[in-house]
Amino acid sequence: MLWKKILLCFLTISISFSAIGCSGNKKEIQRLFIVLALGVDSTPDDRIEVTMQLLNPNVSGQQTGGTDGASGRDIIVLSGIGDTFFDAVFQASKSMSQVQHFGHTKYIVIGETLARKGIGDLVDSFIRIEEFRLNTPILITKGKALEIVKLQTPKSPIPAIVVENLFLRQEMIGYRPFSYLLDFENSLTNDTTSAVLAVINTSKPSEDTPDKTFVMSGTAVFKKDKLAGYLTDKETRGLQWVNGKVQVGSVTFVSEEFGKVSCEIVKSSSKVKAIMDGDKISIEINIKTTSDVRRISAKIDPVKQPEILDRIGKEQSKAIKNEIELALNESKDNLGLDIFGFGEAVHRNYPKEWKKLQKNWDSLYPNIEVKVNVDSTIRSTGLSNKSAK
Amino acid sequence: MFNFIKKLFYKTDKSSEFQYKDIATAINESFNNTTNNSTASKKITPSTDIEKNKRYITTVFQKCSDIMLRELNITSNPNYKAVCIYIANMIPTELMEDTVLRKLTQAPQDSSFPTDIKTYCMSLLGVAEDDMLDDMNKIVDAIVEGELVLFVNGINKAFTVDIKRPPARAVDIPPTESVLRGPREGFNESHGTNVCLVRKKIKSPNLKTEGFKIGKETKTNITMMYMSNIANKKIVDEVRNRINKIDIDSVLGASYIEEYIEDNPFSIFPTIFRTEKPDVAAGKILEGRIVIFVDTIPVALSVPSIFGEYFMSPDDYYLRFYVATLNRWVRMLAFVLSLALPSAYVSLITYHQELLPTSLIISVIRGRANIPFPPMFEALFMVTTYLVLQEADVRMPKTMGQSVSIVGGLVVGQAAINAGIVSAHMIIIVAFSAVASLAVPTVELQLPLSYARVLLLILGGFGGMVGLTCGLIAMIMHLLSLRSFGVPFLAPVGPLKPSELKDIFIRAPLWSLKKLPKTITWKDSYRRKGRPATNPITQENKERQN
Amino acid sequence: MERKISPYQLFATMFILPYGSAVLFFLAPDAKQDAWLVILIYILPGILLQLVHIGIFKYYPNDTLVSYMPKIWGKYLGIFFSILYILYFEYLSARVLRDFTGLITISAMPQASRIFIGTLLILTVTYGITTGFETICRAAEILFPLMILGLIIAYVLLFATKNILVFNRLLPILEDGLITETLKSWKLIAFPFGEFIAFSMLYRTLNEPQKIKKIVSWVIVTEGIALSSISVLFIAGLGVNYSTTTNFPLLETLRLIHVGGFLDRLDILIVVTLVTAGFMKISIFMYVSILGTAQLFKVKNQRYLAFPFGIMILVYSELIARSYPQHIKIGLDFTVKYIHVPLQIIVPIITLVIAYFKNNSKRLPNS
Repeated sequence: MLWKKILLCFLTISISFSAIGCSGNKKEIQRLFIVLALGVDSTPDDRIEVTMQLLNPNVSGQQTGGTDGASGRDIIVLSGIGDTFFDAVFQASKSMSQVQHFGHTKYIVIGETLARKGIGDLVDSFIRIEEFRLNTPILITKGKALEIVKLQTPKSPIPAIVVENLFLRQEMIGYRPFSYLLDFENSLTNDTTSAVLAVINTSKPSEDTPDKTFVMSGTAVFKKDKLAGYLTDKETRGLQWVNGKVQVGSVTFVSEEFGKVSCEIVKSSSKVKAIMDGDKISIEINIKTTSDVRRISAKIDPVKQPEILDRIGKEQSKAIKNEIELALNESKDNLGLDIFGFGEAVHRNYPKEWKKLQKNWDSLYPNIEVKVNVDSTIRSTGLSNKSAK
Repeated sequence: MFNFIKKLFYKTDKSSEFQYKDIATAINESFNNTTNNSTASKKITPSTDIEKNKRYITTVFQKCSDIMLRELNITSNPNYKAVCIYIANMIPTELMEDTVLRKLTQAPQDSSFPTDIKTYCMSLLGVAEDDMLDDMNKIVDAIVEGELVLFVNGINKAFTVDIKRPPARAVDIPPTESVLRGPREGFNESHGTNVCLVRKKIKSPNLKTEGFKIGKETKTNITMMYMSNIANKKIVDEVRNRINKIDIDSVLGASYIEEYIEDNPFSIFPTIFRTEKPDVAAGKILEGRIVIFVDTIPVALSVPSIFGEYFMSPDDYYLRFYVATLNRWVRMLAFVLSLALPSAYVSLITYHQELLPTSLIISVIRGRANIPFPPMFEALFMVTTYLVLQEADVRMPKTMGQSVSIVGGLVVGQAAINAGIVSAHMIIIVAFSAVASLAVPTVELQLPLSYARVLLLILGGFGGMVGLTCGLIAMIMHLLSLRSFGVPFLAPVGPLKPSELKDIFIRAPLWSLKKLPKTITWKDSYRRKGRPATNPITQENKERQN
Repeated sequence: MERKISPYQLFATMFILPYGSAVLFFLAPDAKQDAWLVILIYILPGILLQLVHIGIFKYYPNDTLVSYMPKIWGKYLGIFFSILYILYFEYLSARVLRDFTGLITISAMPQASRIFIGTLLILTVTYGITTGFETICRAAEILFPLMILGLIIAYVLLFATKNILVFNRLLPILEDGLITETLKSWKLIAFPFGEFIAFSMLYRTLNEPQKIKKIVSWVIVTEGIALSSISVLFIAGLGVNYSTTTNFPLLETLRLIHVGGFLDRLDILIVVTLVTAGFMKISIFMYVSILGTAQLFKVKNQRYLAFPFGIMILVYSELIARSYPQHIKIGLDFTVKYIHVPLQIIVPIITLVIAYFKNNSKRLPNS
């Protein structure tokens, strides 16, 4: 009978323990404010302004795709100013009836002024919050992040999803670099590689399209955690060629033989190798692409002369090489920052020497020699072979 | 109540303990007294005087108006008086008159009449000397069983003739187990018919039928059937022991027997399988199981049972094996979904909102905008409504069917959503899980499922995914620890035996299930061979091609 | 005396034990991008260490760790060691519980209190133990293929997500030289490869004792390969720097999965795997300490010990550290140096030597 008494004692202790835990650990779903997009700016007096695009929970789900769309009823934009990110969020929450939930944030956008001051601490905070997923895109904008977050696209009710789709699509085209939270963090902790982030702006309204939309425009290059410069669209694509990430898109070039040619890229891959010749460092980049011809001025008959395609391929290689060299020049000469990861290439191929070179990489980088070899294969000329005209 | 606490925490003094024990023994003794009356009673021989026997019977059966006494004269000779005692509705009058009365009252054809009235009756009725009853207690038992008892003046033993035809239902389609293809006979309330239905399928002298009479007042016939060359002798002995040990006053349902012989009385999962179809019972017997029939109950109990059995429907073996395998997967999926889906949904939207896709979250938030209750209570409310509807459905008399189903539909359906009491997503989830529970073929598993679902719902509602996973693990550990007459309940998955898995997750073609299931029979023997490599038809085809 | 278990059951249970918590951490952070290689190298010392334990077991085939200590070391010292080992297993059980509750509160349910999640887990574990050790082995039998399947699915999904796995991060191989890197990660032999010591209590339940060496070697090899492949995933998916910074590399890696637009948020698998693996690990360690106590104090019905031990371990898990980083630091520094190494390596080796001399000298008069 003794064991029964002991059992009862322990039972009471354990039940009282669990009663402690029952309170206060729930997050009710209708009391959550889902943050769809986050924008961070810096104010003129060195404080942080946070703008959040929140889902409006009070709209009934029975909209029959109304004619004037969701004129701003689906999202709510709130902003707050504080000394740190969390402070600013807290200030914004003073007008929120519900707790914000970052688990579904589609992207984070950072204003240029804040980027120039340095965003290392901010990104560190983001990583510590367990609600942010590591594959959240980070974007930079040339103006204020507020504008991007506030923008309501006319046709789709939730602009954050518009940006998300835009981001994903542009990745394949190659006009924006890989800029997730994880990559930025990895580049920050790496001593030699510089971080790059995509840039998003609002488009200027014109006669045909009176409403503003989003436009991805180029890349922002960072020195450590401060914004140092920009790359244009073409230079961005050069960067992506080196990274082997261009999967879709077209290359247009003018050649004497064929006139203006446009080829559509099917796939591409790249290999970066470091070669050390004594003290001289050189990098060899080998790029392979496959593409189809889509527009060609000259009259060709590839069935009779298949070697035409080889010549077109050589011309295309030259054009791609130009793009890459644009990027290389910008990075080496103007910015002096290793955005391609060449330092890591040297690390991989020559680990022992890298230990000595690592400290001086900043001064060594502008002087390295880069050889670019592009090998394009033209797979076909589309559905028709002869020129139609 | 206070006594209970006192007993638990303070030392009880010896006298009160003694008192407690005393009461218990007193109860036991009184119980034993009642049992002693009927078993250890002395033998009473009938007298040769028929009037004395008649008086004894009428006193024992006083106020029983359905016990008939019919007096007759054997060979119409008033010197040879006899009386027939029987229960009126058990024996149809024409049958009795044809087989017994007419024969007895006929005048003898040849003149070599009765040297001895006893041998004359014995030869006429076809009863041997040893079969005649000489103990009044046994005669009373025989009358109550429904047999015809004949007392003849001058003989101190009684004749019994078994011509009883108790009222019984016809052999009909079983209401709870319906199949697409396959035989549609079902057991009925007479255990003689049931045993016979199985004998029709298994024509072998190895099919043993052992009989017991259980229940002091009901004296129900229990029959145990098994194949002596297939079933495991240890399990057969164990079943026999357990049935013999049952000390009960009445057996009114198969569950009376089931609850006495099962291994795990406190588990929500059944460890004894029930079926209402003879082909299923025959299949189980041929796999080495033991089937128990209880008189007046149209159900066969089969032991030992494993968890996989509850997902098998007899249709599986009558359809092609691809279809059967897919059907089995659908059932298992339905079981798991029915159990865990409401709890998973509630825990995801309460604790782990980042795990749902954004568009789903948006629609859930919009849908729940005005719902007053937290998700867990909403789900509990819906599940309870469904349980109530389920009970009402069973009790519903056919005349009231239409109106009740309309009202039920209204409560659960659109009106509730429009009133803002529940959200549409919750209704879909709960309704789906309720319907999915019906996909499990055996009723014994459907009902525990409803209650296990509620338990998991509460765990998930309070503890999130951690709570749900802990609940599922506890359930699995419980299932793993169950044994049914020595066979692990989750065999062949529990202790993993890959060779036995052919009939659990998939339904392998019948020609590949060559061996007996080792987990039940503990034997390693073949029961059938594979398909013949040269079927006569393919042989002909080949020759035609060549 | 417990029921016997089959070789496959032993294999499955032994595999799940270190796997349960080793997948949560980035093992061998000192070896940087060669962590996977170092884990594979340490398979061999792991096997050697277990051979020491099996050697002692062979001299006393019907005894567990707790019951042969008095026979080898003498009454007082032996009982002292037995008690030490019982406390050690309880401590490990509490550590694992703290690991799991800490991680679940950090990542999945930040507002739940640790005690609450701990109570849920401990109640389930206690219930599992009262059903007997055989049930735990059967559960391991089923869980082992499921865990391997889960690993393979994780691999497939990660490969299917574009741009996540960058195998260049695994280069350069052996940057600092093989020997330096191997020696820097010496702690691997204590965690995870040293945790098999719990099975010294359970070797006697195997129904085919001659297969022990084979089974244990295969388990350690499989374990090493599985853990090494997970390290490869971490390095290729997250990069070496982030793998060492983060508290929960497995969660972060699985969060990167994004296949086809809908297979996106698979963290659920993490919680389910965590709870299941944690359950198995805590129940095995708790069962082993209960078994030891029952043997030492001659308790007849060891089921009644489960509940008090459960409460004790729950309370213990709260007391061992004040915060999660402190818990990790204690685990990597103090526990490895002063608890794991003596109890897993030094004491068994000395025990083996003494047992050898004792048993050989017993045989001498006969030969």
